[in-house]
Amino acid sequence: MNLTIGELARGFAGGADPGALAASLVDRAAAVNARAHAYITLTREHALATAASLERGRECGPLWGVPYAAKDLFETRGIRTTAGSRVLEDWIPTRDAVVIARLAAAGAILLSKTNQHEFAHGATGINAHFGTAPNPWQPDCLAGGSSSGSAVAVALGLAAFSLGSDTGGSIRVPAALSGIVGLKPTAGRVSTEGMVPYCWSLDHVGILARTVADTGIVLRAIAEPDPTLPALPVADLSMPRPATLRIGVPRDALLDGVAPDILAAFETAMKFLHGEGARILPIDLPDLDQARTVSLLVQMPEALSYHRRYLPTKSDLYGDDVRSGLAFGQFLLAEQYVGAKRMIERYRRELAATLETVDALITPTCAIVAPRIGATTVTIDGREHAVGNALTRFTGLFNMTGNPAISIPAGRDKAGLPIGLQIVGRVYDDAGLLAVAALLERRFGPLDATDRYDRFLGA
Amino acid sequence: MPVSKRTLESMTTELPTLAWSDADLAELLTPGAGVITGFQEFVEKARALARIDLEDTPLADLFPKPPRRAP
Repeated sequence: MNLTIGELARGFAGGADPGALAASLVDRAAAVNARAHAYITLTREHALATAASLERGRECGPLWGVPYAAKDLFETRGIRTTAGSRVLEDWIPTRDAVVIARLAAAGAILLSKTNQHEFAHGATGINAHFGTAPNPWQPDCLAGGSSSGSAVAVALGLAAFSLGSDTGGSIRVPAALSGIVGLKPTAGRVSTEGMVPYCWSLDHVGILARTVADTGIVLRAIAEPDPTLPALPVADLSMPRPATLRIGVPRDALLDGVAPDILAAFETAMKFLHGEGARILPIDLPDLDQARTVSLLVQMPEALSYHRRYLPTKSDLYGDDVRSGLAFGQFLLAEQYVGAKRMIERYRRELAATLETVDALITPTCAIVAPRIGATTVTIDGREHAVGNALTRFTGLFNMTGNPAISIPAGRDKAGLPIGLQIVGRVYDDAGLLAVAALLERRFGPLDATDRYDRFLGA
Repeated sequence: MPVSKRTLESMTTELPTLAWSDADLAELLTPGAGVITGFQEFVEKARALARIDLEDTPLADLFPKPPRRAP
């Protein structure tokens, strides 16, 4: 399936059967999963029951009958929710997460619960228990994480969109590596209630989809209905931007250690925007290495605090990587945590001041394209970088500041692997962010994934 | 002075921490799984961070503040 949500809606309005489409997609997902490791649970019966319950004739919204996948850390009533861990392998929640309930009310059909890095505790998507989702474009490389299965499901055309979570880049990174769009809305725009937490201070719920417009449609459906917040995206995102659009780009030093093909795509984007009349202005960002330290000082103790309920009895069920991270959180000092939370406030103030001078920022999403599965380091320009750092270097800051941020595809590198560019907007200006993303999407377009499923299945 | 395993062991026995295995503590000090940054390296970075004078900056709220609306 390579249809946008708008195209699906037109098909359903013309009489197409959402149940038949859902069944077909679940069957295709089942056929590919031994290779894709994208799904932990396929919800075929649930999907068919949902489809059967949909009523035609009343006013149908844009998500009526639209099939989607959800990361397996969103609670689903009566459907097991593992968070990608043996610790919760048999847990069947008794409620739906708020976002799941909102999508049900909009008529969307849940097809599957997708694989992920255990408890969202990493950006590679490696999962020793449920398997590691390979890259849809090159199966010996990573799809990225932690929302790995959610990215693969969309990239292979097995869902119109998917839900993910993002604590340091876990939507934007797999979106970039897998060649799709990934949106982390402004913190607080979308409820995290009913989501297995990683770190309350940094967790965001977001969307993976094929186009920016699709992302906007889903955002309108899942966002908190808060009239005190600025308005959400309008239906037509391709409205011309004023020629006064100001785009901030990081100064050259911040782009050291970025793979050359990604830098080339970044330059192409800047030239395009300049040609459209935008002003490109260099801006300063905080020291990103220091920001990573701040992020970890918040992540590790908060993660440990949640897992304290399981560790005394289920310690041996955790993956070694997750348990190491939790142990890390045990030995940090309370004053360090408080200091990190104060640094976050400082970052927010600094970035808010920067975003008074520009309308949006653009960076590479990741410093590298998809690394090979199993690699722990990558070499760029002769220097070695830890894979996790190279993947999340540009993303983690905006979980702390809460600004909306999106990754869009920007072509592929010489080896054929997707490249992602990140656009960051002002807090609660999700609409403005998506408009800039839609403008840039006109230059690069979605990656052509017409035969991606068949190629992947036959690889 | 670098953090020693004995320090971590003392903390787990003298403070209300969870119980961590020898292997967990060893991984902190000498990461072998290639997943986490070494604890000592991180301590140095945190130490540098602590030297920043944050003046009276308060803790960040859970969500950023919405922009002020014109009256």
